[in-house]
Amino acid sequence: MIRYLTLITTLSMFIFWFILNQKENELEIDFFFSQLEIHLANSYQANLNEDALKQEKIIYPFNSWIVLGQFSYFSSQKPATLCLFFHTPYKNKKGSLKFISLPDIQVCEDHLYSERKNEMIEVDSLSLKYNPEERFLSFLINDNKRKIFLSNVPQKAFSYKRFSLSSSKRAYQGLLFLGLAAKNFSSKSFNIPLAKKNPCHNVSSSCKNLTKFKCHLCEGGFFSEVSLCPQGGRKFCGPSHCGEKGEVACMKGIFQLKEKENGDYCRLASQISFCQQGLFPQCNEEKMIICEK
Amino acid sequence: MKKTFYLGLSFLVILSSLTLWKYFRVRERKNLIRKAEKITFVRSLLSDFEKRWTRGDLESDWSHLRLKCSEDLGDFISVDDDFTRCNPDYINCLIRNNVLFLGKDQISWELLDKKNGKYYRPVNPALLLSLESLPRFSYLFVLKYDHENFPIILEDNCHEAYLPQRIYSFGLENGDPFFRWDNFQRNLFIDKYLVSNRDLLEWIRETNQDIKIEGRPYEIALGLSPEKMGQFCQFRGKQLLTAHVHEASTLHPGDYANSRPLKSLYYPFPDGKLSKISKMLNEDEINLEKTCSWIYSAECRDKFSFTHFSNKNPSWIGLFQIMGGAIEYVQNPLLPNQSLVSTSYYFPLVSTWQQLGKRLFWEGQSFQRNRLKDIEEQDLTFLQENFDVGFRCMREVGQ
Repeated sequence: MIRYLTLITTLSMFIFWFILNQKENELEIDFFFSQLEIHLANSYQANLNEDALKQEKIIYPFNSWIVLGQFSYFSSQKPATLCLFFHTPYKNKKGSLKFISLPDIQVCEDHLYSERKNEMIEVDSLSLKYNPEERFLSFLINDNKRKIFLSNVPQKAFSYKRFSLSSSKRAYQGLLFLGLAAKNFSSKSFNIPLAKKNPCHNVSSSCKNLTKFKCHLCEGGFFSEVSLCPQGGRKFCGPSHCGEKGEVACMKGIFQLKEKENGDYCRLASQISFCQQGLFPQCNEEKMIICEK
Repeated sequence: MKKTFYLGLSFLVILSSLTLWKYFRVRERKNLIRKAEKITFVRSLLSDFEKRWTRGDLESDWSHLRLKCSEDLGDFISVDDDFTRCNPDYINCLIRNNVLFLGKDQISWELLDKKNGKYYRPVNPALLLSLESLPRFSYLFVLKYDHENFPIILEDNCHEAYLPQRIYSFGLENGDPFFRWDNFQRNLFIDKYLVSNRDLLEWIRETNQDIKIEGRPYEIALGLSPEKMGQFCQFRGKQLLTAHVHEASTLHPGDYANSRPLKSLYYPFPDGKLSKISKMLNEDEINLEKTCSWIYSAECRDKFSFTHFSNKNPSWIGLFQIMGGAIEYVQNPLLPNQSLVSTSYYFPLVSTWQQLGKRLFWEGQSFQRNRLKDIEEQDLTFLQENFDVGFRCMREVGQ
């Protein structure tokens, strides 16, 4: 009796195992794209492989791993990177689509052959298209269509002009969707005070960034010294008192300069900056244009 | 026999464990797929949400009392649509009245500020998400759907105007500007409207300021000291508007297409030579109702109500409330005492003080009549003992 019971149970288990296996295979593509969707729901930057986008079916370069796209997204309120890789099919060998997620902002090419835990599916053929207007990343895998909506990714290369909106041109203007977040996602305090004397963005006189831009951490905004650098000069936390005695001079602009001047701008102080009446812009020992009598 | 039995049993246990593992794996995958479906569903609502945010009360539900918004927006008396655009209190009212996403009962919102009954909190997304490229001031709402939280950040892109990169002039001295300047390589955004009581109430709530506000939320915030004005602007990640940027954004620059004009001209009214206002003023009989809707001057105070957030009479870049109404404070880095933009309801329409580019000499400390210098007594006929002063902020955005 027990023998039969064991046999029947074993058989049922086999059938159950088989059904579950079938189900898992059926869910494979859905599962892969669901994970991709969850990761990329709040992505705010996408760099896609233009060569891959141009191909009807991605087959070049043969038999190689390529980066299909590099995405920046938020993970636990910190920037993270998602790399989407594809191994092109060759002869009888199927293609492989996989992604890995990395902490912070990293370069995907450096992780092309990494052994990191990743998600991978095998595909007969793959086509990838991106509509920058609608922000849809469309996949055609075998005969399955899948779409990922990159709603936070701004339109590339735009310049401000009269009547421009201040926000980046995302799919939903002025709206940032953060996807799924932990329940304790909250609005933490506004600003972290930084030491006032140290610049929150240090830029050399030859316009090199000496430190990373940290002025978004300033308590109550920041101000910049007068500079001819495209990224602005050294920046400091706090309100602007430009033009006042002993404070940085105010920016007057560059239109009076005959040619592009870099480096020693102290001799140009009165052309590019101004101060309160009775004070004059001049360089101090740190080569910063300040207002003095 | 026993050996076979135990072997079979061991096999069954292993198979059962594997099946169980497989079962949980499939269940986990299904759960994850369900999560992705929830994201897709919530995202399908965002388009409507964004429209509500950027378009505001286009249907005039608040003004026609179809929507009870007094608690969030105040009682409606003469205020234009722009007040409800990109206004978190308007969204708060929609949530409170349960009219956002009608028919989608499974959607709810987290009450983030229980004390004040607000479904939003002001946040600094750049700090919250450790990303410098994000705006410094926005609003966080948290949508709840099927046991999941979906944070959404809304940015106010309705109430700022961009100052095009070009050469501008500043000040007037014997018909010539004090100096010419430019904002090439700099992106400056200026508040379209003067700071309102709503903005101030939010600042007071978040930073525990000991300041009492009188008036409805949409009314101009008045009476703050320049120091407090600066602190408010800093809270918003901005700076107080400076006199030369104020002039650049309100005085017509002449030829739009030429960003490097050799000479700057002075126009006393917002749209240059073709000014509707100068035409109105030159008419034999001034249509006061029409004129007051453009410049709310001294003559208008007893006859017509002041429209808040009025979108009439914009400057060439789209700044409003630039003529008439309250006096505006600007930070003047060249001449610190010339910091009050005179055009206001304290001067008649035809007064030269009503023109753009004119500033009063103010000795500081308090907004009292005796603190004003270099002005004829006859020009002060309409000025009360304490006069109203509003302000606006500006900010620089990275390249």
